[in-house]
Amino acid sequence: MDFNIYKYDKQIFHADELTHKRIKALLLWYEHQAYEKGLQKSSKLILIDDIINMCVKREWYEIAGFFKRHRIKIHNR
Amino acid sequence: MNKDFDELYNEFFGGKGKDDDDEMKRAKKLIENLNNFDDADIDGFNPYENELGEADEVHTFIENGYTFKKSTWNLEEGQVVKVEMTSSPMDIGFTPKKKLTLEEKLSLAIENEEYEEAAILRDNINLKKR
Repeated sequence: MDFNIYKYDKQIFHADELTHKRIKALLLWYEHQAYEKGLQKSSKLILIDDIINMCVKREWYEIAGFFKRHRIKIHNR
Repeated sequence: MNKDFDELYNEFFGGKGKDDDDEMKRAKKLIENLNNFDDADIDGFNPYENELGEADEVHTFIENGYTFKKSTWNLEEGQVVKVEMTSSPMDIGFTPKKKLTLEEKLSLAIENEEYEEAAILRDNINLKKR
C-alpha cells in the first residue's frame, strides 16, 4: 500500500493556521521518511528529536510541543 | 558571737585594705559594663570593649556548621571571654535569589522541554521588544 499523503487533510493540529500547516507538513514528512526507509522505533525517535531541535532553533515551540507529545506516543507503543 | 561578715573577714585576713576595695569596685564595674549588652551598637560591638584593648587570644572554631570567634582578655581580675557567631550554615554558598529575565526563563523552559511555557515566554519577549 502506498503512502497516503492526504491522510491528515481533515485534521486540525493547531488553531493558528500557519502552525497547523507546519505541523501537518512535518508530520507527513516524518511519516513518509519512516515509511520509505522502514525505520525502527529507535530511529523514529531519533528523527523526532531532530525535528524538535529544528523547531526549537526556529522558535516554533508549539510545534516542538506537538512532536514532544508524538515522541511519547511512539515511545510507549 | 554577733560579728558581721566584715568583722570576721578582718579578723582572719588582717583587715580589708583600701586597695582591695578599689580592685573589687573596678572588677564589679567592668563585669557590669561588659554584661550591659543592651548598649551594644548595630554591629554588636560593646563600647566597653575599648577599655579592654585588644584581646590577648583570638581564635575561630566551627561547631555544627556555625563559625565562632572567641576573644579572650586576661585581666588581673580574671578572664573576660567574648564569643561571636561570625557565620551560619545559611551563609555558606548563599547568594541572593536573582530574579530571572524573560530570556533566562525561556532558556530554562527549553532545557526542561516545557515548550508551551517557552511559546508564552517567546511571545512576551517579542511584545517587550516592540
